[in-house]
Amino acid sequence: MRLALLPLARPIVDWGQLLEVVEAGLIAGVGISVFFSLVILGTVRAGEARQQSRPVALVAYSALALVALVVCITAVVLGVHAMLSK
Amino acid sequence: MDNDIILVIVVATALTFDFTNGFHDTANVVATSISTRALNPRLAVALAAVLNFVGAFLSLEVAGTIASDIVDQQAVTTTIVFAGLIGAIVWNLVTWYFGLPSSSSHALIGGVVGAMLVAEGVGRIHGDGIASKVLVPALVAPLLAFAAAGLAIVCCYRIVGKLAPGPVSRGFRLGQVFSGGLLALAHGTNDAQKTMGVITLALIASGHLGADAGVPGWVVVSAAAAIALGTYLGGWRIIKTMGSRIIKMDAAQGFAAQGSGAAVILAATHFGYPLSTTHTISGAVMGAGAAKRLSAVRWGVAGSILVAWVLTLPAAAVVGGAVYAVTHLFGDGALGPIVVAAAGIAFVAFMFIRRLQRGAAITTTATEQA
Repeated sequence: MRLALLPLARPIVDWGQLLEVVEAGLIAGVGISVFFSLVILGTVRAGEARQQSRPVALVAYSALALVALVVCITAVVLGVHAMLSK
Repeated sequence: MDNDIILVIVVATALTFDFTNGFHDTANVVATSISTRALNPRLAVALAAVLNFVGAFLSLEVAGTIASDIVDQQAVTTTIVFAGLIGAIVWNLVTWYFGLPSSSSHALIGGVVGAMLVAEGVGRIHGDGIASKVLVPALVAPLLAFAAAGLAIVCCYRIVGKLAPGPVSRGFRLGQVFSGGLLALAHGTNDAQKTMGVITLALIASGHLGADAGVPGWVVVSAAAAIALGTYLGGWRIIKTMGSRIIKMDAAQGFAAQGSGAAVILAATHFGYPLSTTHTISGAVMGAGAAKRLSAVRWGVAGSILVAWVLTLPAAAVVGGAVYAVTHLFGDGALGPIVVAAAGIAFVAFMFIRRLQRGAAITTTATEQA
């Protein structure tokens, strides 16, 4: 029964377009949380490294936080621009 | 002359719907920020109102879908649009009264379809457009938001799980100011466009616009202003359901839910899907809760929200059809819409007075306790 309905469903629903929504939603939704978590990780660890006078760790974690923050901001700006321009 | 009077009533009704949409739906956007104390309620609502206004100017894809893919443009009359809007407003108010975050988008589409069904029959309804642009996305969006938020919160906990909870919580609360803003922006791009689409449909039906005309600038501005005003005046009762009754969230969950919800809404807006922000953020909130602990989600409340979702399209269609039938009893002139609009205003006043008599639906203290 399900197989018989598939040929009918295919031309009505643009599955390719819907798949793009699923991909974009998943990648952007998960990605933004991952990179923001890295911002927090880098910031907190950098603070600990500064207190413990570990300059290498301080630089490394600060760089991680900065890069992750830049990725977050860029992703939001590019994402909004790409999704809303057609 | 009658046609112009009906058009004025339709535009006023559409903007009223847009206002109730902001009042009813946008609370969903700010609920997570409030319940995790990332923002105080007044600031959260004011921020959402401003960003909804801005978001309404960003895209017109959804307006195009509403204006052309749901029902046959050639058969639409201003009375049909009016009846559909009344159906949507009535359903919005009923679900607001009971504190259920149902979909304003589906209420609007259901109302217009029901009115068209009574007026012209099944043949004038674009079943394929409704299936591809409304029904399938309605199923996909909450599941997608659920999955995205669930995955996101698992990743968040893996990354920050070994850090001290204080700084992590403060970091995610700060992040929620931006994720909540993004969600409000996404809401404005998708939801305000539905009203723009309906007003455009009425302008085409009344002969003031050509069949393939775009959305006029004054329609964009007025729809943006109406949804922003509705947002600012707020739907505290819905905030309570979304922010604390489904799941008690921490700031990381709030951030994951808002970020995932915004991503799904913006992706859908790009392709012109008139998505329900309510469905999407509910799915994201449940996903963020279930990924941490299945029992964290209050499935009974989630079930009643699900019932409201299922009922929305048919219930709004029934009201829209009934309103069209009543309006039609007064003939094709302006008398029918005038009488029904007056009855609608009386109904709105009745619902508000009853709501006030039952006391404030939520207080700031109650929200903060969540």
